[in-house]
Amino acid sequence: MAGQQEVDRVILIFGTMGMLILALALVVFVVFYQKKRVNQQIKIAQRENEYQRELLNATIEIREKEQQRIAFELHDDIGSGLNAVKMHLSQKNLNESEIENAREQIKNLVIQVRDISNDLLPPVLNELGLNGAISNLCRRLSNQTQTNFQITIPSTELQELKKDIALAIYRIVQEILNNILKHAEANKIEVFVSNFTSKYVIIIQDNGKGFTPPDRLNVQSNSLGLKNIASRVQQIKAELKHELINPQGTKVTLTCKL
Amino acid sequence: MQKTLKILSVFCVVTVLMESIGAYLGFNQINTMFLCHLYTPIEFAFIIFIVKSFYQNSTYFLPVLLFCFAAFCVFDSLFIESILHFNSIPRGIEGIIIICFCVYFFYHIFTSEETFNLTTYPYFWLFSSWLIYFSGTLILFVYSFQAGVNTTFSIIHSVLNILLNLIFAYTLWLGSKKLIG
Repeated sequence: MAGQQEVDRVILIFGTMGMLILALALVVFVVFYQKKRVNQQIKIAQRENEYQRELLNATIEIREKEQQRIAFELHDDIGSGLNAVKMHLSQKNLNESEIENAREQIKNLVIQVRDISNDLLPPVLNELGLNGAISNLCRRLSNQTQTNFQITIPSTELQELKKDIALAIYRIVQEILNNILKHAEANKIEVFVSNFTSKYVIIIQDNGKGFTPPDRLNVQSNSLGLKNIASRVQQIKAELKHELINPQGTKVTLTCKL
Repeated sequence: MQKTLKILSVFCVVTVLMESIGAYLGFNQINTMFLCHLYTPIEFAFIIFIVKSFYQNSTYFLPVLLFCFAAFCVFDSLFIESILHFNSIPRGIEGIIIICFCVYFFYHIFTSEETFNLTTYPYFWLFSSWLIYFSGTLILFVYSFQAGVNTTFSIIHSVLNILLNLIFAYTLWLGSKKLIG
């Protein structure tokens, strides 16, 4: 009888202990797992903040460089040109050829002012719409370089595309094409645009040496141009995808939901 | 305080009342086992209300489960285990069901996209206290069907009960702190 009681006691104590250990193990595991998740989320948030700060710095740096460039152009080209014309016209007894010379200088200055203005806000965007502006940009780059451009762009413009989004898309395309021309060593660039009612998609494909974005290689990018693209993509909540293609080249897809 | 924790507070008051009656009867040498038969469905009902309120569950599953369990408790008291003996079968079944609720709660935390600081989350402590108490007492309840209630049973149960009530107090304290905060 006493033996049976002892067995009962041992079974109760060890059975309870076993169940308690299992329950505690589950609780402790959940606590540690959750702690790990919280830490991971904090790290992701920190990385995201760092990235945002970098983009912001890049945006400020780009804007300052742009302002500096415009200031230099205004001071060095327009300012000095106007001074030259002023001095020219201050002379007494100007003959016909000197007046013609001054007129020519003023004409050149007008062109320079228009170029600066075009750089700041491309008038083609207002005149031709985004599709027309991209076509125009491709044609201009094709004429200026040895690269062959193949363009497939719908002739109809998307009415619901806001002006700031259109400008951002135009700038992104401009930056991507400049990067290809500068670094890819490509002799052919294909630009394909499709505008549905709900989204705007641009595919730019080249046959150059191929490009993998630095973030995919887990390295930090110091390129202002790439940060500029990333900043604009984020600004319009678009998606940018880089793919290496066979046998060589890169395909960049920009998708902007409207 | 949130509705779920309010239900827990009422449950604690009811438990204190039942324990007081039990203690009074015990001091007067009166069998208190009938109180266990009464307390088990009441405790289960409160736990069901708490779980229902926590998950904001509007299905009939939990009320139907409560009804079935209460009906089984009555059946057990009348036909299986005497009202003057410990109701080990309903207690065991109750324990298994509540362990399932707790495991589901932890699964919910695992799969939820939201992250919680568990040490300051009252419901984590509430479900942990149930998991620890009902896991610890499951063997006791199941074994008591065969061996009856003895001193070892009473000591282990008392220790787990104290632990359960301490964690309840901590849960309510956390809940009230959040309200003040």
